[in-house]
Amino acid sequence: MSTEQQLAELFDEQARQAPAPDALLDGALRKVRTRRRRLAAAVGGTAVLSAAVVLAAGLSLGGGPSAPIAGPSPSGTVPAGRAGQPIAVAGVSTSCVYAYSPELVTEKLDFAFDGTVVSVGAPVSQRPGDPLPWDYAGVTFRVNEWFKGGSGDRITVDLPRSGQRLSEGEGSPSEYAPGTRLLVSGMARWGGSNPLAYPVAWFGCGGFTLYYGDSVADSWRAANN
Amino acid sequence: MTFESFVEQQGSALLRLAFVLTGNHHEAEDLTQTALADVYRHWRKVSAARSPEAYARRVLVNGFLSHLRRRWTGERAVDVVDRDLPPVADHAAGVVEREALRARVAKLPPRARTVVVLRFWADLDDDAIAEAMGTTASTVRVTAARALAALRSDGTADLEEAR
Repeated sequence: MSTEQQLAELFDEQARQAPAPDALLDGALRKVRTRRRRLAAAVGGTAVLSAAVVLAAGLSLGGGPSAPIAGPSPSGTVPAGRAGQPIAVAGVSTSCVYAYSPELVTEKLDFAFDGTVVSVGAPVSQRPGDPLPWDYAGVTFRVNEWFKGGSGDRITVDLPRSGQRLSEGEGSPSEYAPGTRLLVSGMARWGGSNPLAYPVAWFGCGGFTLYYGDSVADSWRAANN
Repeated sequence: MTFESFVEQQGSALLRLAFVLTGNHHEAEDLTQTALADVYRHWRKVSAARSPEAYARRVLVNGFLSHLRRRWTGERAVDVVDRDLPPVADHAAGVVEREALRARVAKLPPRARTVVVLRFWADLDDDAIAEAMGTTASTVRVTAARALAALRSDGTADLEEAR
């Protein structure tokens, strides 16, 4: 018998001993749910956080005198001393799938833009029927510049609510309000060809969504080019 | 077609392929479920594709090779050891030969083993194997020829992976 025939018989024999496919569907969907939870951790820790935060125009971000709002720029404001800094810093218990870099923003993520917060409302990336918790806010931006993924002058993206921490009791919370200028990058939460379908911002892990800063904007522009 | 019906139709074949590749029940289930989870994430694109099963097979094969790439350190990827086979009666010669071949297949580098499985079990042609593995048909042919030569001579220790 030839080696080829022997191989075919050997593999046939092995295939007959394969496990039954009973658990495939449940197992695959369980992995999908696990991955979503990991993604949530990557973009901001599991989102079971209290969210009693009042959002109003002109509200002093950070809830105290240590974080005053700087004077308005032509396209929005940035907390003093926070230009180019991440909007939230995770604690030690938050694991990152990716560490931030400008190249990663343009290579891996679906959209990136410079925008000023216009309003904060209900999340927009929750699909009907999805039972997973999603305690985020839908933040509408006036777009100052697109780096990747879009072209309109307005976009609503899911972000952790202002005041939330990425992991409970650790790190620093995200802080923004109407008028805050951010550099935002993220992805279509459920995939697909439309980069702005069900958009959710990435944050934590050293960057991804940051207070506006000229040098960061330059690096995103350069990476995209 | 829904994702659920796709799993119903193709899940068993994917699981058998995973089992022939890995030789391990748990790894085969995990590999198949991971591949299907990826298919689910891109279901709109996959279901519109010319061959959703080819897409799923490619994801599975890539997952297998990625997994082994992390584990492959030049040692055996499957826990099969060389054995001094005892003398046997003639009627057992076929079994002994089969076991010896199984051991030699287990010693093949991951990509060579994958080519052999896809060609001689899944019965795919070189183009389909190349698509599943993300390589070219000529690379598949070279890899298959080297793998067969190694299996015939048991010279797997000297077999290098064709890229």
